[in-house]
Amino acid sequence: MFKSVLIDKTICNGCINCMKRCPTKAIRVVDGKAEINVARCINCGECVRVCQKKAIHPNFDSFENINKFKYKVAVPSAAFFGQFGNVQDLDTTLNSLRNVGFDDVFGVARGSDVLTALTRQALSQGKLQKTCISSSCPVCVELILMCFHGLKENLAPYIPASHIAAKMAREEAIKKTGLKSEEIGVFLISPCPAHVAAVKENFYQNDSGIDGVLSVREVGIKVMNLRFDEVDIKANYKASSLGLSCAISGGEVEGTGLDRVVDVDGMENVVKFLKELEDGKHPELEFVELNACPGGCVGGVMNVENGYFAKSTITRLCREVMKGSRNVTDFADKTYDYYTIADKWKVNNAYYKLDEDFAQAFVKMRKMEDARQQLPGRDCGMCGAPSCKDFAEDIAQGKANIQQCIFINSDDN
Amino acid sequence: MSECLKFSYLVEGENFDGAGAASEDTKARLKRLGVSKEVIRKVAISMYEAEINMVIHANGGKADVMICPDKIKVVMKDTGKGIENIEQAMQEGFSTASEQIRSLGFGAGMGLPNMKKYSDSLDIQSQVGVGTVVTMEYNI
Repeated sequence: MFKSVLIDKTICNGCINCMKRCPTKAIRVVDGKAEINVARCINCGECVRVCQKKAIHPNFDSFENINKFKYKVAVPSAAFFGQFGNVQDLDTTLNSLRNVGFDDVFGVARGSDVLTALTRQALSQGKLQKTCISSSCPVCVELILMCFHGLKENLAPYIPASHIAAKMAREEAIKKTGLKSEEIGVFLISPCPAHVAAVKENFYQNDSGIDGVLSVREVGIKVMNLRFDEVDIKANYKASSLGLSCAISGGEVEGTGLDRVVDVDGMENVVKFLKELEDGKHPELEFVELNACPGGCVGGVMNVENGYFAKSTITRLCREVMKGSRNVTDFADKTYDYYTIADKWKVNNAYYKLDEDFAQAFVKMRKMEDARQQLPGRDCGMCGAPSCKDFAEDIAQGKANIQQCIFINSDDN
Repeated sequence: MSECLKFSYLVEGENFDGAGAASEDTKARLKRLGVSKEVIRKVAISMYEAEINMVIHANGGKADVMICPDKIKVVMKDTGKGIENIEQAMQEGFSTASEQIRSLGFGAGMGLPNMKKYSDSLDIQSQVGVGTVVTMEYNI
């Protein structure tokens, strides 16, 4: 399994901030160092955000990888355009990518336009299960498949805009250059560790031909070192303001053109909302957009700029696009399976099920209860588990010993 | 039955923010055991209704949950004002909830009907001025 975040054990001091924050309780502190249970990790990057020591880093592809290809195409996420508040227009930001080593550029926002058109049409024809939940945020999809199994059928069947854009970019590059597909390298520039993992693990079950996922931060710093007046405008920015606004929470919802819609951002808010949705509250909703990061993709952990400032920049650029004459969009003119996951969404049992076998799960739950009765319920984290409840589960699973509890140990002394 | 798992919860009266905690915890436990999502949904909905009823009408009470290999049994016991006419209370839309409670989004008169609809057996014992015992069972 791919590790979306890496812990530098020479820096980690064993504080429990990341462990406490992890929404799927995937982190334990073992021998004074944080460890991630990859099977339970949904790649949200909350641990990266909260680590005071900066010991946890997102895992993405090296920029040097682009040099393996004859023709290099950058596919920057819409959030990328929010990183340079001093740059007044989209064309400069887009073309700056040529100056750092790419031959061509193709914005993810163009994929968002296509995805918006697809979603809007399917919703109006009643082809998506109500309440339809967007599949654009891979963290939220993983969260549903791990913790909210009752909502699996509500997930939209689409691959994300970045994957659609990557496919379109490759086709366009082949047409333009006449090169073979393997000579063309298509690289996403993403703010999101989950998008890196999604490509590495083919999470969206559709070969989108992405050759690597680079970080907005790494590429953005290269761009910041350029002199923007030297950027040669060869390609024009092509996407609607709606496509661009998908970097911000609410952008996707806006694109549906429906009234009964909601957008939720931030991990804790998403968890709370999914609980309500699974319990059957808000049955009137037609479409739900979820963003694990605060403010949407502009809040991703692989960005450079403050998410709220990036949001303000994107909003300003959206107004520019609307004013201009090129508020154009691409069409969704391919077959259904070009845009969708190959198979159905599959639930992940790593979080809830104590055991695949019902009888064994029963035995483990009893052990867990016995342990819980003895534990103080202080959730101090000193045992290395995020709460007494999680520690009790670790005991039941045979992964921990009750003597690791400092309260129980001190009683014995 | 010794092989059954037993859990007890205290349900606080008049606490609308905390209402639903017992059914939510039970739901999580059933997920951990790998019980089918259809059964989980039935338990979650009907137990939530019973829990809300105790909060609204009976100033709280006690919820006992027993999970056995073949069935789940939920007993909700309170010492509230009791139900005068159970047959009437079973009708959809019948409610004695106050305007204030309705304004919070509760008291639509679907509690008991939903408890019946989403359980495999429902038994209500009630005495006015003494209290109510609701027993619901579900086959796994």
